[in-house]
Amino acid sequence: MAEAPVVVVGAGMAGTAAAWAASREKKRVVLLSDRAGASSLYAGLLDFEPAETSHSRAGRDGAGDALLGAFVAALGVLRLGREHVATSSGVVRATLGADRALLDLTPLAGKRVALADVGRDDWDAPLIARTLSASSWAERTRTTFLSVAVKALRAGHERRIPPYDFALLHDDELRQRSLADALKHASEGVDAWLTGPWLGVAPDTATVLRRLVPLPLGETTSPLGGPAGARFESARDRLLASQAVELVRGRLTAVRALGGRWLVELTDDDGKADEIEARSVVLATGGVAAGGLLFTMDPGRPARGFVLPFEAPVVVSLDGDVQGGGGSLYGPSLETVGLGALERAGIHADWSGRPRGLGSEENGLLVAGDAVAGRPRTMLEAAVAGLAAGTVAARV
Amino acid sequence: MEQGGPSSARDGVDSVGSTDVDVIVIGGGVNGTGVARDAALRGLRVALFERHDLAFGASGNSSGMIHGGPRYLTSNPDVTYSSCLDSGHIQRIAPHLLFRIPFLSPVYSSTELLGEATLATYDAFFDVYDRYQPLKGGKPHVRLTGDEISALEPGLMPGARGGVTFDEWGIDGARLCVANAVDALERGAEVRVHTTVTDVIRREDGRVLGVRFRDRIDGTTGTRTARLVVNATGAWAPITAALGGLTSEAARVRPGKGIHVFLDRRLTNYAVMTNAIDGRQVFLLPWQNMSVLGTTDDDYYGDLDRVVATGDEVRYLFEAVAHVFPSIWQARAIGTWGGVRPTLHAWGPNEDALSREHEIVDHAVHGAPGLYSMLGGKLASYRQFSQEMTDVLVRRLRVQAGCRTHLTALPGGDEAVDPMHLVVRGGMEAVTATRLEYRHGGRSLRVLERMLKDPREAAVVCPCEPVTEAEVRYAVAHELARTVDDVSRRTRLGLGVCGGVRCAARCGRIVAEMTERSPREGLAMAHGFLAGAARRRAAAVSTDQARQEALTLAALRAELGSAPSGPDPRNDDPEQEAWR
Repeated sequence: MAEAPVVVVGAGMAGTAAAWAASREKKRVVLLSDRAGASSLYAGLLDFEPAETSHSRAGRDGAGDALLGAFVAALGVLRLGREHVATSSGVVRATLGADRALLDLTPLAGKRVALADVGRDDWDAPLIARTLSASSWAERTRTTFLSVAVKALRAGHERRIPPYDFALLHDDELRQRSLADALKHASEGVDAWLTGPWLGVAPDTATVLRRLVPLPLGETTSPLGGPAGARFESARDRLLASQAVELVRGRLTAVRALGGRWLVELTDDDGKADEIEARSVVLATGGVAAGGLLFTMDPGRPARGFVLPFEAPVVVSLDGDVQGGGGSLYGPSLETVGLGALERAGIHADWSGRPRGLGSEENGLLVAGDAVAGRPRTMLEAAVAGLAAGTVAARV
Repeated sequence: MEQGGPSSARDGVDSVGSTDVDVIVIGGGVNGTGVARDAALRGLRVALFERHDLAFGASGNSSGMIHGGPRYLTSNPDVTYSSCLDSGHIQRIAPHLLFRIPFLSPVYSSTELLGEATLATYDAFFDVYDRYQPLKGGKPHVRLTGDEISALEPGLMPGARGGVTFDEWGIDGARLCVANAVDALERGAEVRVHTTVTDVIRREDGRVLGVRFRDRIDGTTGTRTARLVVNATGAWAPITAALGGLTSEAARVRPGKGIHVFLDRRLTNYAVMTNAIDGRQVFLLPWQNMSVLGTTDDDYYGDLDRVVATGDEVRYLFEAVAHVFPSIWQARAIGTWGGVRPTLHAWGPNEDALSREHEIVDHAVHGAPGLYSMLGGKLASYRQFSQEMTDVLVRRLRVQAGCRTHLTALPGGDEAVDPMHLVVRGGMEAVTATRLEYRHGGRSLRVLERMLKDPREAAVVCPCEPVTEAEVRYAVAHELARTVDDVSRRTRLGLGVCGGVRCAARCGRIVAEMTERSPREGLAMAHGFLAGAARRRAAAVSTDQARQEALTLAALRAELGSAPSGPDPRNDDPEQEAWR
């Protein structure tokens, strides 16, 4: 019988990082995943928070930085480094890394950045350009944003299809060429092109277009369900296949301690119960946004407030308070703790990702990413925590 | 900056024509806009001042019904009669704004005999109500068996002994206020929103001379003189009276807070009426493109400018409706609204037993001739109340002019437009056209004109409702909208399932541009709207909404650099956060 594997639950950024790190330790890795989580819906930014928050809190060191760099390189669709990106709301954001299809504005300071006005309903280029020009970054760096008409729609309905569908069209080679031609045609007096989140669902479309135009070219951040999440998914699938990670589709139902080992119980896609014996387990099941944590106000349910949709020897906490058995049949009042509680609640764990309250013999159960209470909900945090948890899990 | 009128505040109040206007109306709710319109129709010169936005208070936060008042049938049938009569009038002047809401009242009981007795009582009661239904174009009630009622609404708790149907009309209260205000404006009235009255100016002998005001957005101040001043500020009435140097007792109301929860879709085809744990009547109502759960009635001593539903009020309603409609716990709540009724003051009775009648106070009795307060009332009787008030005004001003508000159509109410016409001419999607026509009636053609002139304006800004750019711009240009919140109140922009993620920032840019403010002010305005909406949703986040809320927070943080996430909105300048 093969050695018991490291089981990672969840295939978002944290789970992918954990599986990659554990497989680098030459361990057998099984990745159990159910459905798309928050990573599949992200904006294309590695870091949503002010830089120092995730860095200092995650307690990173030089070795962690190197591992993160190697992971990001292996994933292929992201780049690391302090940069500035634009959002379609007309805000210039600082970030510590982004999807490579996004336009990095930092080297364009003082230049003329053109927004491709293609005539889509969700992209009011003239008004967005004026808003970006009035941003404090543009004013400080004397950068100009202007709107330039570009013929990029081939059919009337393309005006209103979702950004993802419009991006998908640009995976086609003919469309890439015609878009590049249209941009080139309009490039007079333009130093760089900023588009909406349409530069392909395939990871390399933006790179191809940059070669064709050839000017700095990139998109804004993605809305929920935009192409950035899809690019992450295809990069992830490629990476996991190359690492020989075993993929299991199914829903986690329970994690139980089993005399030094762990039993992972699941329901597979056909609704059949199954189980995997594991040497260690990384719970990268996500927070409320991913469905890895539920918030329920139905007093008819046996568990209320913040609850996990599976059994495990862990507890849920909010702002340091362990949930359950509290003073309300309906869970905490969000109007008093704030909606932000939806992002602060999670599995009660220490900063190394070890759930609090486990016995000394219960080694090898770890949590990472949005599943952990009180951590920043950023892709960077998920990657860093996932890499750390995967490494520890492999060494158990 | 002073925006002085043609005459100073001191001279010649009693001689005709020497004041800036004949009548100043304070308050842009349904009664204030109703009086402004009525007075303008009768040829009076009118100025209206609203501290927030039109329909900011009870008018825009009611149950959204022009109902016939069946609950007053036994205690005060006159109220029922006048409510039904006026409901008929409103249907004639604003047919586009009304939609039929058939109610079901299921009967559950422990024994068959008890069930029969209850049904017989209902039946007899609604036999009487049916006599008033023709006044408002309502259908007579129908008595149903248990099987029939379950077939009509399969989501009802099984085991009903039977029930009755009865017929009411829904309305968008904010649109009703906007229609009245716009009509007054077009008939020569001055209407200022986000403009608070800072003083009611009085002569030494007590007579009212006019008001001083301050624009809360741009800070400008000014005065207007008038022969008469009407305090139509609803629950704020005592505060307004105090501005004139009267005691708040002079315009006393008993403020009653009522909240509603709105759910993401029409869960039922019929409104379901039932009783809460304390016996109060509550309902689940299909309203426009969503469902509404309401309502509470509690004495309110809080800040009228910031009325927000609380979690325990929401749960009281959920518990009540779950009693007859159990799957309500699985419904997705996407918001709440809270308003404060300006109920007539009485010490003693519990909230539900208070009269919904209205009265006009002539503050001459308090030594302030020329000042009147409109107290009490309800949405359904606004036109009648406005007529009574305006009758007093014209008598006092010795003007011969009868009321025509029950005959003259409100803007958009005079011309029927087939939404398919908008689809064909404007290339709108059918749902966009239908919603546009509902809000604007005949004036949807004016919004269409904008799109034909500039096809860019056909862009859908808010896909949930949906709302086009042309309609946003129309609301700013012709309907007095000055903020994102104002646009939302007029168009329902940003109130759908996505929580404004997709439209608020863009709407802010448009409003800022049209009102000559900077793009950054537009973003700050959007941020303020999103924070307010998050505050209103927080009390009602249900199991199925929670995941969406968490995604919304992440998306907003990515878009704006910070996420408005709770009772404590962080920073109004989104870029500040991104740059920290």
